[in-house]
Amino acid sequence: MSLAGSEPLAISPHLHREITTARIMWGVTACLLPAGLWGVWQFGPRALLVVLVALLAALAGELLVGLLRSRPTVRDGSAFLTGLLVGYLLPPGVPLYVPAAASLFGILVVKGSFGGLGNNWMNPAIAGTVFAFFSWSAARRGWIAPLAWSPPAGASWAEPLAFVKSAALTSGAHGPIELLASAGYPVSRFSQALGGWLHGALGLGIDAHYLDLLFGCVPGSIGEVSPLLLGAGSVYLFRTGIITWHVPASLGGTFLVLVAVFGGLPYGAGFFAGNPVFHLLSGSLALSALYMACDPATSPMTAKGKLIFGAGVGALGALLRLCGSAPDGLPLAIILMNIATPLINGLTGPGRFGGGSGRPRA
Amino acid sequence: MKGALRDNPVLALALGLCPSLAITTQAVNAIAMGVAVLLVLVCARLVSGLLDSVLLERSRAVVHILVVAILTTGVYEAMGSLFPALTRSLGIYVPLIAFNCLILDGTPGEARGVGRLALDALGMGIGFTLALLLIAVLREALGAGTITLFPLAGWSGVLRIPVLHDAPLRVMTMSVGAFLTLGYLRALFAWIELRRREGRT
Repeated sequence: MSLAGSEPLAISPHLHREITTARIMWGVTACLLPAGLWGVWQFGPRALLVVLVALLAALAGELLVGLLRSRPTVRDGSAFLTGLLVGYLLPPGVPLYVPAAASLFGILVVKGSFGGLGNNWMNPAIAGTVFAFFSWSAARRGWIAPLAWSPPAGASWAEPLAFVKSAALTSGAHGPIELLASAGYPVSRFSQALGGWLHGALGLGIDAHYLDLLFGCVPGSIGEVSPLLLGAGSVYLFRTGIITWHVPASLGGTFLVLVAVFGGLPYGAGFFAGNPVFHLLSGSLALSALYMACDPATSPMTAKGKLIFGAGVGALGALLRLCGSAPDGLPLAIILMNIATPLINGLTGPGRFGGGSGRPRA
Repeated sequence: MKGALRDNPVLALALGLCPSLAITTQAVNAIAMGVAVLLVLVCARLVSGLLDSVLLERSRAVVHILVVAILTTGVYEAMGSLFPALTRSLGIYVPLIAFNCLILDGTPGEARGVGRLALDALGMGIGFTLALLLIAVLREALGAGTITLFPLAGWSGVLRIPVLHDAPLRVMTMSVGAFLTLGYLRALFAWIELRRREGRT
């Protein structure tokens, strides 16, 4: 996806639309804002500071690349989006050099060095964050208890995914939610009340932990915690066609099926005993499936390619989440499949007109 | 002596990449590796150059391989007894010097005089050492916040870089860091070469 100003991109005829790179980038940014504001509200000014540092570093990096190439690209919004995503992927309590280094690595090394937007071979935000995760163990900690918890709990509770990962083997629980409940993992008063009402009025027995996960009343990375708001924001993206259903559907489908089949194994519960709802609502699944995996520069172009790409991310993500050392494997799965994107494009591209059944190879 | 900078084996010709990626985690490793290669390379050129005059054309290649192998074994054994810990940390890459020297040995059999051949090898060895040292210093400084040199009379041989030592970019000491560093250095080298050529025309 090369969008360089007003240059013609292909042989005519062209269909002109009012869509530019900048418009797409700022659109996605706007859709991400509710989830970020929620994170800042729950985790306090410290979260805002982390996001701001990530944003400033990303913009500074883009400005520097623009100066070196004498082609200013800051205003297309892509660097702003990268910085925002870096901030969203980090826990609110990380040291401030972490967001700065992650943004700079993403913009300068992953994007700038390879020729700017469209030539980045990985999602720069995820690549930067993964770089920080592998460099500093401090980048993987720093949870802050959400405002919604009452009574206020200390900062000692890790995000649910990390919590169940470290405790799965030693506890007697048969699943993540049972584990949270038996360990006395705090619940917000709102979810408790809502759960009680659902039980009383509708006869639905829903554990309050599910509701906390859905609304984002748990410790976690700043922009990841609220799947509800992330999903709500993505409605606009679907409606305007900025993203299509292919990647989220195949990613989510593959991921949830694999988690349902194998998710019970860490608890000694055997096959087909996983808890897909917990994994759907926790960690970065919503942010990954709806926003980061759909990055046009690093995901395949054809519908078939998108389905393959999404299935790959879902499968690798489930594998890494259940068996990896890090609590959440989805960002890693995305950058792994980003590397495979040129290959998928080559294998799923349309055949030449009159060229027989042979497909052009990458 | 062109091999030292302009035709640098690692940064310009992309030869001997395996050790330059694998052992450049500490400056001292790079120096040891570079000096060992330099020794083998220069001695091999001298010995094979002298032998070439009494050898049949078709047997030269075999003899060159033998000479390099014998010299490498000698250097390996000497290093093993003089610096056991250092040799252990270099691992398989010391015996593999034989392989690298055969590749770096450029144009064997071209009669240009033993002296010039040896000088050429010296330049190549210096270039290899400098490239390894550059990669290792960058990687170690960024990835561990230290620069490890030889311990000398009471000094531990480790320089600490104040800020980086507290929160080093650990990725740089992993293999990712090796590829990144090498990539950027090669890009820089290619850019300098391009500028130089443009300046000449």
